[in-house]
This record gives sequence, C-alpha cells and structure tokens, in this order.
Amino acid sequence: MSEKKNGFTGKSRMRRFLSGHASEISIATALLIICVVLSFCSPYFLQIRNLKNILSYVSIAGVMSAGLTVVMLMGCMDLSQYAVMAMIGMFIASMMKQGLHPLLAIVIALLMGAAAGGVNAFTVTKMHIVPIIATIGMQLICRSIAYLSTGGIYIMVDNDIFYNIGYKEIAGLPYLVWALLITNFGLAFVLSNTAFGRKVFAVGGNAQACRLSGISVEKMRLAGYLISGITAGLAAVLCTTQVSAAYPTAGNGQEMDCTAAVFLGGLAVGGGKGSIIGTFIGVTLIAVLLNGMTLLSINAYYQVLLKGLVLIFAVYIDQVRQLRSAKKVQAG
Amino acid sequence: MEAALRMDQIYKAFPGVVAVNKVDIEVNPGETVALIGENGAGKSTLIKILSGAYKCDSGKIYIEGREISDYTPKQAIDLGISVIYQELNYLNYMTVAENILLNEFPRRKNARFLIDKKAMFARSLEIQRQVGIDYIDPASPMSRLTVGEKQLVEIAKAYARDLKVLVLDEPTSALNDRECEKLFQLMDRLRAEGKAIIYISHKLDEVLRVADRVVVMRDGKRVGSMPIAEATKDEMIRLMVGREIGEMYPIHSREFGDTLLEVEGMSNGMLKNVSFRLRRSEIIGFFGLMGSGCDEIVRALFGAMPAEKTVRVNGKPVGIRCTADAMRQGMAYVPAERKSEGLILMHSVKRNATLLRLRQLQKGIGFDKRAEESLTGEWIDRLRIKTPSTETVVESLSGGNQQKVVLAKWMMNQPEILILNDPTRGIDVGAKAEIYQLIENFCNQGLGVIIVSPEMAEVMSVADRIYVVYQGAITGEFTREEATQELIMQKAIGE
Repeated sequence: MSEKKNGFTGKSRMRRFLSGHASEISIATALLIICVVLSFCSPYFLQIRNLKNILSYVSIAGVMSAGLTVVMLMGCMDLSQYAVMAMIGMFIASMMKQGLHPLLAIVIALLMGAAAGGVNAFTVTKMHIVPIIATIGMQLICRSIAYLSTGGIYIMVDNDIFYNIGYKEIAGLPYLVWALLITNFGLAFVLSNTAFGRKVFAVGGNAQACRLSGISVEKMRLAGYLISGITAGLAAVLCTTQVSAAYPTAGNGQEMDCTAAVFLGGLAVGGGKGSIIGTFIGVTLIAVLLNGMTLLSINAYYQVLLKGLVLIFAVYIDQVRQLRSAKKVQAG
Repeated sequence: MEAALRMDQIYKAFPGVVAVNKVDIEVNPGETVALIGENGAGKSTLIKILSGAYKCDSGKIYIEGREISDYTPKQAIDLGISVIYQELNYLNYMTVAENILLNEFPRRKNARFLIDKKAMFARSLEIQRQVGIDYIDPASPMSRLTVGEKQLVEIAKAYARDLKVLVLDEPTSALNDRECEKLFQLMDRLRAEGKAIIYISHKLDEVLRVADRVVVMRDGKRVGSMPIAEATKDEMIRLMVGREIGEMYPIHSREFGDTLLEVEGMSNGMLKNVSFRLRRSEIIGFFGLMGSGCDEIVRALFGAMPAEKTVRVNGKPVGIRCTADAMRQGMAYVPAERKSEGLILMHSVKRNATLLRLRQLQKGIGFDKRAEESLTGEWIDRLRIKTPSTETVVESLSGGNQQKVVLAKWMMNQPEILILNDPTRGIDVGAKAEIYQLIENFCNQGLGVIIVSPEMAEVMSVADRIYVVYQGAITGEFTREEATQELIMQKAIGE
C-alpha cells in the first residue's frame, strides 16, 4: 500500500486538484462563458473601465461574502450583514460630521462590526436560536436603528480620505477593489493555512465529532460571527465612500445577495465544504450578470428575479452533488 | 388451535454476520412468550422482520394460519402486528385521544372532511376502558403523561386497530415498580382476550411473572424453549451465554504498571456511585446489557456528559468538566458512533487524522503541509490503514479502516488513557482482529485502555479485568481468570 500512498505522479496530482476543486472550476467556467457571450453582445463589456466598474460595484458584497463564507462553512448563517452595514454607516457618518477623524471612523466601523458579530454569536450559541432566525432578528433591529438615527434621512460625508477611497486608484486599481482582494485572499489564506481555518471546516463537517475532540464549537462560531461582522463594518466604510453619504436604506432588499453568492460558490448546505475563492467567483458572476443586463438595457426589475433564480439554482446544484456522492459511496 | 403467529425457519444475514439463523417461533392466542438473549443474539433483528422493517432472506411468517410475505411496517399494523419499541413513538403535542385514534379519526356525519372531536374523545375513552386505562384523560396532551402512561397509551393505540400480535421490546426499562405492575395488569387483560404477546426483556423475574413460555436466542439461533413451569433462572442464564469464545483474538498477558487512573463516586441521573481504577498497560472492560449505563460511564469520564465524580490521574486529583479537560489529562476517546461522533465523513483521511495536531503543525503564519503529509503517512503505515491516498474522503473507506483513522487521530495526540466505546461495532472479523492487535500494542507501550462492548465475548477476550454494570451501578468485578460467562451474566441482569 505504501507505494500507492506516497508515489503520486504529476498526472494524478493534477487529477486530484481538479476533483478537489470541482465546484470552483465549474463556476469559473460558467463565469468565463458568460463573459465571452457578453463581450459579443456589448462592445462596452470588455473595456477596462467597465471591468473596474464591475469589481468596484462588487466590492461591498464581495467583502461581506468572504466573511459570510467563514460563518456558513461552520453550518451557520448571517442575514444581518447588510443591515449592520447600514447602521454602522449612519453612525460613522454622523460622528464624522461631529468632527471625528476619518481614519478613526474606519477603526470604529470595524469594531462596531465585531460587536454586532458578537451579538449574533451570543444569540446563536448561548440562547440557542437557529442562526437564520437569530440573524433575521438582528437584521430588523439594526435596520431600525439605522432609520431611527436620523429619522430616515441620509448623511453627507465630505472629506478627502473617504472621497479618495471611493473614487481614486492606487497601483492601477481602485481602493475599493484592493479592499475586496485583500479581504478575500487574506481570509482564503487563513482558512487553508492555519489551524483555525482547518477547525472551521471541521466544525461544519461534524460539530459533534469536534466537541468530542476537545474543540470548542461555540468559540469557533463566535470567531466566525466576529469575522462576518468585521467584514460588514468594512463594507459600511466602502459603501459610504462610494456615494459620499450614508443612508439608512443601504443594502435594503439585498440581504440574500451574499448568501446566494456563497452557495453559488459551491458551499455545501450545512457547511464543511466550500471556499472563499469559490464565493469570490460566485459574487463576481452575479455582478457580471447584472452588469450585462444593464449594458443590454434589460428592465432592472428582472435583476431581482435573476438573483432568486441563482439562489435556487445554486442550492439545487449542491443537492445534486450530494445525492451523487452518496450514491458513489453506496456503490463503493 | 391455530397459532396466532408462526415464524418458520426465519433466516437473515447482513454482510459478514448471520443475524437470525433458521429461527422458529410460535405464539398461540392468549399466550405470552418471553424472548430472551444476550446483546446481539438476534432478538431485535427477528422483531424487525416481524414488524416489516426488514425482509428475511428465507423463512415464512403466518398470521392465524395465513402466510404473509413482503409486507411493509404499515401493512404489518393492518395485519394486527404491533411492536412497542423501547423508544416510544408518539406525537408529543397531540392529545391522548388523537394518538390512540391516529389514522382513523371519527368524522362528522355531514362534513366528512372535519373531525368529530366529541366522538373522538368518546371513542378513545371506550378503548381506554377496554384496556383498563380510562383514568387517563383522553384530552390531555401526551407531553403531560409519565413514561409509563405513554407506553400504556401506545398499547391502547395498537389495541384500537384490531390487534392480534403485540410485541413489547424491553418495556419496563424506564418504568418504576408501580408502572410495571400497571403494564403487567394490562398484559393480563390482553391475554385473557386471546391476544398473542411477545415479551422481550433482560429481567428474568419479570419473565417468570408474565410469560407462559420462554424462548432463548444466542448467536442468531434459537437455543431453547420451555414452559414457564420448567424454567429456572440458572437454566435461562446457562442457555443465554455459552457462546464460543475460541475464535476471538488472544491477548497475551502483560505486567501491569502503577495505578494510572482512579475514579470514585461517579454519579448522575443515570449512574450510581461508580468507582473503578486502571493501571498502566492494563485493559479494563465494562460490560452491561443494553441501557445498563456503560456508555454513560465512559462519556462522563471523558467529560462529554455531566456527572459528579472524583478522578485521580497518576495519583493527582483532576477536575474534568469538558472533553478538553480530559484530553489535557492524557485521555483519548473513541466514540461508539464512528460516523456521527468520530469522523468528519466528508473530509479526507489526512484532515481527520491530524485534527488534534493542528497547533503543532502550524509553522510561522503558514501550515506545514509537508509535515502533515508525512505524519499522516507514518500513521497509515503504523496502523496499516488501507486507503488509496491521504486525500481520500473517509466516507469511502471500509468500517475497519474508518475506525483506524479515528485511532490514528487519537494516538497522534500521545494519550496515556485510551477509552474505546464499542470499538468494533459494524467491523468485519479480519479488521476486528487487527484492532485487538493494535490495542495490545498500545498496552505494551504503557497505555491504560478502557473498553466498553455490548459483546460479552469481546470483553472477556480483550479485558484483563471486567466491571459488570447493571442499572447504572457496578455489580461485579472479575479478573480474566475469575470471569465466566454465567457469572458475568448473573451480575449483568442484577441477580
């Protein structure tokens, strides 16, 4: 058996890579096909400016999806992110109006995000509320606070640092895109290269086995919600810079966008399997589709329809995959 | 007279084991037959065949002389066969009447799609009167009833559907004496009405109280049948045990070291003042019949279940409140449910095996993937795990190799005390022998091993010292030399 075990040839290594990343590869292929089709349909699509636009547009959802992936890998959910983002946006905007330094505002945004994540972790792990219910509750609460903070009116943000983040580029890419890339690749690295990351997958794969292996499932889930909250805080900054204002309706109606992207990225329902890279491709694919619809002047109301179809389709693919692998195990 | 139930030459094999081997059982109307046997003797499989949950490979079943075959559990109920399992099967938030009359609610005359509540309660009360439990309010929700009352309601529900054969599987395990007596009274009533009853129990006193005849099973075979007048406890025990031990793996004798673990006064809702000790290089075994508390003892020891206890490791008192505490004291726990508690099925051999060594494999800000690969490879060789690669998903491995992955995970953590809860469950004979060999190797390295097994033969062949557990308390302790199957069985049934 030992030669079977250690002597991998280059070919089998390649095959192993392909089969281990089947879901990422299939969604990347889908993205590529959509891009090719769109580039034929619209001459604007492949322009550098449009591509940067897409990535800037996707930065908010992309940053939060990365954090959400960590939570969902552990078999939990977070539907409060967009509302937390709106609430934090209102807070930092009003504090900056009072004279708070913009850099300090960014730090506070991240801290508030962590605090919101902590509340989610408390309701889920201590009060034992099903994650989907707990975070919908949090969503409603935060959205309400966002409205109440100004009675529903937006707050202008007028300072150079925020303006630069929202509209300027550095090293050839917009700040927004850098934030997107760093968050995604940073979290991807943590997940695949640290003990913490390995445990995230383990908890999602079998929480009971983890408990019996001395891993604190509660602490892991707390860490997950903190990460997802912090990404919501970062998204609040990005969102505020993009329009130079904070408004309480930010992200209203988009609550399921990130969840759809994560499932589209190949995350197994219930956790244990999935990747940040898959999520990143998923969130980009949705953005490209929406961008394409805009370029082709398709009625914007169809965009919501499309998101709904994507969500159902993505989870359906996971079901098909699980059924097939269950059959394979039975046959083997 | 035509037998109410006749099972003729029933045979059922699972991969690697013949669970029921040409068993005959006949129950006459108005007769109660007690079915007894050790864990794994084949009683449950036989009952599942009767209830339609399993199909037998060969053999015939007759109800009142009419052969029935290829039926589902639903059809079995329609045929008048009702099985009341240990795990009761009721709708907790519905009323007693709704439970009893489920599937045949009385309808309103002028609106057939509506339930006639008044008629429902009246009909339920009538059925309850027939079986003598009309003191239970038919409008009370099941959740308010005691376990004993719930069980009686379940029997009433079976009775409501033209009952012919009633099977009671360990019905008294959760009942107090008064509730037991209620149950026996109900059984007497049914018997007088001519119902046939199969009664499964480990409690020989009860068997003598309720049964007209005793059938003993062992190793899937029927090894004895006698009228209750001729049955004695000694004779029943003798028939139940007497298993072949010869084919099991022989564990060689070793020198034991110092005392490694002492547990005193372990108690919780299930356990009563359990105390035991373990020396280095020693294997101790816990044996008890189903539901005796063996499982709870090791779970409580490992901190996976709350219990009051005093634990000393190497003579030093230690507090164990969670599994991480137990691991810090050098304990390792291989759970009974390999798939749901031991492994992450969708992950690879490597990921499962190195789960406890992640911190040691951390190198700077990265992860030492090469060390992880070689560590896994080393243990695959040491435990001779048959897997195509370290990246193979454990779900696709055989049971024996899955169990070895669990062992590798724990042994990598260099434990001093290895707790094995039913380590060979669902594993074929060859892999079993390999697991025993590994256990022996670990012992020779100075580990202390605790093994729990529902198979008496396994405990007797592996353990140097055996603790017998009955109703949450230790009722006997035997060295390898002292232990005989009869002695152990006597203690295991509380004699």
